[in-house]
Amino acid sequence: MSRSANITKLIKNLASTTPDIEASAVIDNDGLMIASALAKDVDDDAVAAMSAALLGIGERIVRELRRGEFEMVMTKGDQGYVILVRCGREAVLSVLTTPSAKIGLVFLDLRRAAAEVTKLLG
Amino acid sequence: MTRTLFTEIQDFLSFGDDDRRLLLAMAPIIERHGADITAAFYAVLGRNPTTRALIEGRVDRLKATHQRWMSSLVSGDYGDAWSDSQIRIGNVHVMLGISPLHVELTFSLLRDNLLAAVRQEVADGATCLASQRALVKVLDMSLALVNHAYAEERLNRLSGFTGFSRKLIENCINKTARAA
Repeated sequence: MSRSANITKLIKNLASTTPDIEASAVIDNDGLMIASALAKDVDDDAVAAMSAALLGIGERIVRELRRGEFEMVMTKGDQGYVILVRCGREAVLSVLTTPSAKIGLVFLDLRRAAAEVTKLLG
Repeated sequence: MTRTLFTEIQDFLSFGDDDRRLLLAMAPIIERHGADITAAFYAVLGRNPTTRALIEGRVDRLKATHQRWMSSLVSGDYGDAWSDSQIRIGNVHVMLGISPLHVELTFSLLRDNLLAAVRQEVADGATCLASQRALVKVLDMSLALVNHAYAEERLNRLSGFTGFSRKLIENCINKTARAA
């Protein structure tokens, strides 16, 4: 199985084992999609570029405001959260949650998944 | 990278040996008219409040640099050193905060004055026209390189500020273009 297929399988599992996570994707730093488990009506390319951009800004502001090591970017709408975490130096894991998500549990699963994606990316 | 770009610019404009020869032959014209063209150029910059603020207090030094640049247009030698120097000019303009709009406008002034000087000096109609065409080409090559330097420097600054990779910026621009 290819790396992309393995990562796709992993993020699909993430959505099925963590009920609060509705969809997810892995994107490279240049905003190109590596693996997607997003809804069919979502523009994958646009989400990929926006995720990489948001992560870039997030990392930059954490550094500028001396908030230590970057961990994640979290954005909330009334229909849920968008959370971005780093997978190594080259990629980002983006997940969408339900509005009532138990964020602590989501963070735990997210960190585990990010570590596995990092391993798969080598 | 710059060399590849410069080759593309030259090929696109069909800039060739005839142009080089004609430009070299114009060196005496630039020598005779250069000081007047530079003076007229800086007089216009001095009348505009935005450009006046950028040149105040150092006009004499800028005039000398400007005349050297005009001489380089008719040097007959348009290799790597020439293209690199145009890129440097672009970078210096960005550093000084001169807007791309004013760079474009100043090239229009130069085109006007340089073509007039050639018209005044070259009696033969066909040679005059060919010389003017060569002059327009070299000015356009310079402007293309200066504009390229501008675009690159501005994107690099955006990249540095936002943390976006250059590829990501291009990706976002292309994405926006496709959506429009």
